Amino acid sequence: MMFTEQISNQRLQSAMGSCGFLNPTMTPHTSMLDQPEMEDVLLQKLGVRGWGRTHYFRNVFQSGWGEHGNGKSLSPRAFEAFLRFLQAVQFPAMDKEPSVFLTDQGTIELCWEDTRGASVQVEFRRNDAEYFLEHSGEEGTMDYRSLLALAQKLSA
Amino acid sequence: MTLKRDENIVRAVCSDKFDGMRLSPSLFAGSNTSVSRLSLISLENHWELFRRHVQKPPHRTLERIAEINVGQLEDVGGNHNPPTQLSVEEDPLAWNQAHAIIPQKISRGLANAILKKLAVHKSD
Repeated sequence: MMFTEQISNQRLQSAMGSCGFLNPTMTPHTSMLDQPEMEDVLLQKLGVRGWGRTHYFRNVFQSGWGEHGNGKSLSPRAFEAFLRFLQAVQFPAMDKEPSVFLTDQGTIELCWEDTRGASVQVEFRRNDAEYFLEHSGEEGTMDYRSLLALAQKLSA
Repeated sequence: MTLKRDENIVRAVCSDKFDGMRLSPSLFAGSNTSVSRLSLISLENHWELFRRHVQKPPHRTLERIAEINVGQLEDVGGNHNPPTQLSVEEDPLAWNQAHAIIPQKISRGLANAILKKLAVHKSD
């Protein structure tokens, strides 16, 4: 599905401004990305499909979207962490690009496979990231002060 | 009432949880996961039911229906590390008399194991 045509730059910028996007006071290690830089990171790391889905989740899925009408809109803090993680992580060179999903709690999930073909998953929540490595069965959480360490740990 | 092991259950998969390549692990992660019973409503009729009551077009569309056997689900939980006792409980709703829930909290790792056992149906 291609959603991107429906979303104008103006709307994206408006949405970014209204949610305090990339406010350096929100979390440590915040990097100030302007709109073109953000687009570059999303496109380079996720491809067109992931880029489009990310924008769609940010701009179209408003509160009440979920299965029982209680889905939350994407948390700006979760999105901020997601973007910083994407900047730092190196995905393996595989045929399938990473997948992006929105959860009912307004968090964002990133899934890909490592070089063995085992699943790697990270869910960016409001205050921390939950991860899962299928290869070792390791599950855990890391707060956002350790986000770069998590990106290193999960990089190819 | 707890469903018997020989029943099969289904879960709606909408566009937020499927991108054409992978299913989201959050489809089964968490507690009180909604499912529906094939013993009461056929798979064909579930497509219609989910389209009317679960999807919210144009942004959230029904993409797939995921099916699993209750016994298989219980076994996946029991064989997981740490073992998790899973069950499926009847929970009929006004719009779906076949509605049921998996009440237990399902971890990300266990949800991942469940995804691997799913039969994923595509609309004709």
